[in-house]
Amino acid sequence: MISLPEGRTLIALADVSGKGMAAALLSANIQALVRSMSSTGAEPLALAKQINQHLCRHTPSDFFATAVFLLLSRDSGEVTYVNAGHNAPIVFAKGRIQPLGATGIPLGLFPDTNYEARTAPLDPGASVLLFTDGLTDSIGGDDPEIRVEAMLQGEEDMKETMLKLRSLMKARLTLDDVTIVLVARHPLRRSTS
Amino acid sequence: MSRAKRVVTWAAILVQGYAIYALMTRSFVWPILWPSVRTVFIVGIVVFYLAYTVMNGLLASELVRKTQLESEQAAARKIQRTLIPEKLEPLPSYEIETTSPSAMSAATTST
Repeated sequence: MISLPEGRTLIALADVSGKGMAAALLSANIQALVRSMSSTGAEPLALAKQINQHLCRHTPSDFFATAVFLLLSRDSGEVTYVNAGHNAPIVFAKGRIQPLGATGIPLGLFPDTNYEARTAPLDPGASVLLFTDGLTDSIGGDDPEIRVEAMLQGEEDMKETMLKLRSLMKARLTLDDVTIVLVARHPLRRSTS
Repeated sequence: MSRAKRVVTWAAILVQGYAIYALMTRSFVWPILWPSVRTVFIVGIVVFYLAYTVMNGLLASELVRKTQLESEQAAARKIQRTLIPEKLEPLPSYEIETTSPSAMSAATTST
């Protein structure tokens, strides 16, 4: 998460293929790229395109990464996002579920890939859940995404939501690292007279 | 361990067993006492130690490989942990909750 000027915050979540030292170093490389590029004002679309080209040029062809770049305008709650083949983040509020689906393929596969930036509103009281595939893998079953979405529909408390998400994970299936990020926008407070 | 190495290791274990059997019965084809006891003893000991050395070598190489893999994974995990921020900047009007339990350990941060 990187705070940017003009009341914006960049949330980036990536998952690198493979395991071990090579994957860890590639993660570090991607994080450094995101930090340096966002400091020069790069938006999600530019981030996705340039990191994709960087990975295609400088890493072996069997290395790739899924990523989601989410630029949050803190005042308006508008979210501009690019989802490069990552598990769809979920915007949810009071029973309403909106997955932010893929807008391109994973980074590092083809240098001339086109990515698309889309926007979604994060209304007061709404939240967005970002996660890596380690979460859905560790839930198991046929439709782990549906189980996650079903769980989100009834929850409003963040800590409770996180605890319930973790309780869905089965230890014996948790073979991959898991990252879960929940961002909730506070509901508007009604003024009292 | 590769399939070929596993086959060789098991063959070495069986050869050791057969050498012990030969030394106990004083024959390679009991109940026929063949060849001479002296030959059985010498060949049995040599075969036993050869198989023992092959088996030990393969198991030791596997142990080294596993230890290297584990230390590499531990280093990779260390790198990954340093990439995950310990504390997040608070966002006014927003609440953030994160967790990144790895396959081996767990940690939670929130703002």
